[in-house]
Amino acid sequence: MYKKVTLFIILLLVCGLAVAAWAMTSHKDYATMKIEDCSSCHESSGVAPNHGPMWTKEHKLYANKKPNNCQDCHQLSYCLDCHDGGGLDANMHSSQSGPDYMPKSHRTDWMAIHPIKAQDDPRSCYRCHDAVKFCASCHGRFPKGSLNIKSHMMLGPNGQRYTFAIGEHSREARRNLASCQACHPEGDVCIQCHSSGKTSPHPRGWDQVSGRLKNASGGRTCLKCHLPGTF
Amino acid sequence: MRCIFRKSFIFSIVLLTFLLASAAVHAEPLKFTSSTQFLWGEDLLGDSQAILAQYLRMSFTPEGRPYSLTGYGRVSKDFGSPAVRSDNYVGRLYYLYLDYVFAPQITTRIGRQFTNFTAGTSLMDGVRLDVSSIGPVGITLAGGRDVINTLDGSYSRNGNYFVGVDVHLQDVKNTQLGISYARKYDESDLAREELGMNFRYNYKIVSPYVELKYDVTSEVFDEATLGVEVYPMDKLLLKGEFYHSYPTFDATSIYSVFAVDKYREYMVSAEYRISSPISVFASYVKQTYEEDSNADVLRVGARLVPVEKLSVNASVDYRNGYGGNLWGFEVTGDYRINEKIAVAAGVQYDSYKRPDILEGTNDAQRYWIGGRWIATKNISVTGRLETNVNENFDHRTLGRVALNWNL
Repeated sequence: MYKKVTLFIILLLVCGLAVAAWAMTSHKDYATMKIEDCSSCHESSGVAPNHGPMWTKEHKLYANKKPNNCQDCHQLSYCLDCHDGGGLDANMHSSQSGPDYMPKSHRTDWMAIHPIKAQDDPRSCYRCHDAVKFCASCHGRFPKGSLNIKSHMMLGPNGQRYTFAIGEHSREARRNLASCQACHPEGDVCIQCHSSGKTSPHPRGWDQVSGRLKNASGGRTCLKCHLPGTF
Repeated sequence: MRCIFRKSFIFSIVLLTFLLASAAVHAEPLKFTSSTQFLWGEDLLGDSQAILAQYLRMSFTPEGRPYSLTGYGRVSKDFGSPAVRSDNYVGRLYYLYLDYVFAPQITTRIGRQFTNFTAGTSLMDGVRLDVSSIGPVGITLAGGRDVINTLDGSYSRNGNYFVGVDVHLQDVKNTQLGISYARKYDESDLAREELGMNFRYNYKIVSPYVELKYDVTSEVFDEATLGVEVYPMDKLLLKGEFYHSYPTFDATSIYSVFAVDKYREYMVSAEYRISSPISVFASYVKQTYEEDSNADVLRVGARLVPVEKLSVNASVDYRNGYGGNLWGFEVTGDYRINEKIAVAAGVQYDSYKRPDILEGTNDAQRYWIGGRWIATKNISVTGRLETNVNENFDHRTLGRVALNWNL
């Protein structure tokens, strides 16, 4: 696997270096221009049209380019107003949650529909929010039993518990484990059963990576379930 | 040692800020943007909120000097009786950094800053060094204390660090290529170790792109995007994309030892500008989870500019499959009455069925209106009012007014 990746990277480098040097155009003079008017220069310029209706999802790759053109038109606050709730230059289209501003993607009753929207790539939530420091701190302020979670409803709407005889929770957990973390940041409820040794939570091929995880955390993660010297 | 470093770092930043701000009193390159805001309504649990927030963004860029200072922050307090958020004074420093140009090819940034590599991102109190034009290659190095903004403030502690390096091609026509490596530490233990790569190449009307993240600790590609854009004419953009995600967690988290499923999606999309005032778009995503669970997501929309002062956006979303069903729409309009006054309004509607909703569907509606008045060259006022009708509220009203001021 490493060999293939290395060869691929070398190939890309060679291809890239073969292309003639080119000075990146500054866009500062055009910062206030409408996006629709950009084509007057860009037409047939070999640059893919961008800043379209799906730009929210697309901009990551452009932002990862170094150096990029973003700062020609946007200050860093523009990024953080969306990623971190700021509202100095708040768009009238943006709603609010407490003092924070929400991106336009968080529409209607976001509290009610975010469990569905989160299924559209669960990882996308964590590009802006920390699962423990944001999600858990918000979930923790709701009365226990008030969050409707399918696997937790087997013992009644306010039970908020599951029984090991029902496999629903394991399927949900494997598909979006970070959502468990959003209410159980330390995994204390998981450990109650999984530390017993009867129900191993580890993935297939665990022996190949367990050593690296153990060394990285200094063994402190392992000690949550295992006795010293037993892992 | 870490404590000494931290104190020295903070002291240096404060000292630099003080010195530069003092020197800037009589200097024109000093720019401030202020926004004083009042936000009111009900919080998510129905309790009242009445928030006063003060934003400040500043920059000091003296002409002919190799340094500049930039900062942005907010202080807020809720005078209502909120249940979800804190009612204390809450400060949030988004960034405050000093840029220094050692030489045309060597620049550094010191202070709180947002650092973004494909291998990892961080809001950090630290140092970034950019070295450019080593032939066609540039290098960015960054390291510092990791900071996380929470609901009610910031979180950071000793031993939480971010370090990273990005090696990238630059000034090479039509080619983007960057390879990065990043580590995050949690209480001095290694929490994350990632490799990243981003690539795009523009060849005539075709633009393939790749973005990869490899978790070194777990030995898996935890994120991969492969796609191609085709633009046979300037008005038309076609795209096909494959996305793969295998969730990994900090090695210091108990969740790092659990088995997870991979998630994949296949997307095709098209954007077409029929003529200057009308553009349309559509996208379809097939989402796949393991054990043959799938979901279909469709989105179509249009943008119309019937007259120069008016623009209308409309879109429809549809989702069906694992994780819940949803369909909804949004219509917004922006109208510029004159050079000084602009108004906007919108309607959003969603009908949805979460897995926990056993019978029927629920719906949610939002109606909003906003306006901006440019009072003088440097002063403007904005306002916005919205109401929500949904499963949790018969009517939840939120409003805000902001006084914006440039110096």
